[in-house]
Amino acid sequence: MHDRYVDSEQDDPDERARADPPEDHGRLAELQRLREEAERRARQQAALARLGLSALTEVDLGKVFDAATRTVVETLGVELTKILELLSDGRALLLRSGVGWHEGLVGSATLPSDVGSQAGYTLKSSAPVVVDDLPRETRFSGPKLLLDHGVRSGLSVIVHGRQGPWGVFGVHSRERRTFTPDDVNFVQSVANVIGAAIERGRIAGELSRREQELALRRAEERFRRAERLASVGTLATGIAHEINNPVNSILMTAEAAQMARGREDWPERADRALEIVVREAERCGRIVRDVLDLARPGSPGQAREDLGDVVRRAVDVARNLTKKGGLQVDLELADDLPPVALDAAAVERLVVHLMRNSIEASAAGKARVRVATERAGDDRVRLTVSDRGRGIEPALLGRIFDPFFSTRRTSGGVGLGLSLVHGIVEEHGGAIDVESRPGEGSTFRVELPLAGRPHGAGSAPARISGEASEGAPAERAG
Amino acid sequence: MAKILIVEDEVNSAQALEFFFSDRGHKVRTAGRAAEAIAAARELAPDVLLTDVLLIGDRDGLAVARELRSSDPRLPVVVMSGLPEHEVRERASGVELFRICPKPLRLREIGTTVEAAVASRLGGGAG
Repeated sequence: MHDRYVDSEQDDPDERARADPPEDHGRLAELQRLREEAERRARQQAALARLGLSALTEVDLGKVFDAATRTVVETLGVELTKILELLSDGRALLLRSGVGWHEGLVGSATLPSDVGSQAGYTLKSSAPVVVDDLPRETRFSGPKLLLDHGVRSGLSVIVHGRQGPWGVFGVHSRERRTFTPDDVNFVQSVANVIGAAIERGRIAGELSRREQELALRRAEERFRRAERLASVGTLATGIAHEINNPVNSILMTAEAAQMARGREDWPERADRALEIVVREAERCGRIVRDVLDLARPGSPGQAREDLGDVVRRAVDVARNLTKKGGLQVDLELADDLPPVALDAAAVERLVVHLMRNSIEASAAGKARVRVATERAGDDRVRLTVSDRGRGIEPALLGRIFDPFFSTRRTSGGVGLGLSLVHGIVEEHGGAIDVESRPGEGSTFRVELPLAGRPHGAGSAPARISGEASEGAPAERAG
Repeated sequence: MAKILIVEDEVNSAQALEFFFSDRGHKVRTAGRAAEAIAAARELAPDVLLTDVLLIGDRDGLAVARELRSSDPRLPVVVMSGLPEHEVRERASGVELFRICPKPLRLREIGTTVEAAVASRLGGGAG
């Protein structure tokens, strides 16, 4: 046989060509191997490029995972792939995506993250983990999941997250195979693309959250601006209307007097017209002062003041509003009040406005107003101004704090007094409460915190209470 | 001579209007509130209503116009108001207005307008 072999070797030219020379044969095989390796590497590079593009453009992370597992299956010819996410407690890995697994496992199966399993071991390793023969593996015991699926060989790498590992990417085959360094590089590159896609998704989510927050803030700002403009509009309309009325009277009165020139009653008509003009011009001035008061910024909490002193000063001012003897004030000031943190000038105006309101609600020259201060609990003081005037119609009680709401236009009420009062109470973080019965009088109670306005205090609550009364005059009273 | 009902809650403005129209030879009644105006109209049977819009009380000058129109459908209504015109028309909701005169008013202008309103009614041939 040997001879025959030699003979045939020498005699058969084909046989000779196949065998000779041994060095050429080795070189050819090596070239062939290199060519296959280059082709494989090119396929892997192309697959990676496609996957990278999909990861850059795809919004749905699940689709990126699917593309990654598909790419690896097609390129490496493995049967099983898995993307495992390290859960927030760090103790388990969830099978997020993959192919080749029994039904119902993807999305729900978890693996322990300790070093006893291949995935857990991978997390703790800084380098990719290659397994040639899982049943004979000594570094870890193949987890049940892999053994159940008849896995022999495999390769797993870390999917890097922003801070530490996000999870593990693994490829497995049921047949025994050896993964080359190129295969390892390829799988790690795929894992890096997965990591980049996750990070990109996280950033996109964060951006969209911030965009939403920003949009919400912008909407709120627009709303507030609209509200501000609306209140500026209301205020402007109110001021225009209030000033327009006396201006109208002045204009027509003066014009009527001009037209009466030469008539026998002209001197009296002119005199009367001048009186009206002066009074209406004064009314314009009062409106302007009240508007300026409304716009005056408050600075409560600046100084601790004796509320009794502030009230006494206000009573003196209010007395000057009426003819001598036309106002009776019952002053009941508590003598045990601690100093209150307040804006003294503003609170003085508050008391004057409430008293003016009471005086105007009372029969001319017969106003009787009670002004009292007392402790209201541990941290508040109460100021009460009450009268026996006309009272307020229940239907109108809810509007008395609105700017320019007045039922006393003809007697000089401008409609800003109680708005000013409300504003001052608000500035001090206090509360105001009204009780009124038509024909019997009204009581205004103001509560102020001893410590002044707490930081960030909102609008002053106003409580109103009254009794329904048929046919009572619709007058605002104090 | 025409019979003019003036509804204006500003006493001094009402008085100036009253002097002015009386001096021109018209018969004038003034009222400051809706109820008062409706009562005055029953006595006067006005040829024209000259009314402010915002009045003290729960009924405005346009409510007065609506009520007077129900018994006198051809009564011309002249409105004087500081409110924007669109707001007056909104409040009028269907009550036909001869003219809306913005405040502040000039007496001569309001005089011409009121007299034109009276003429329109007489020209229409109604009472």
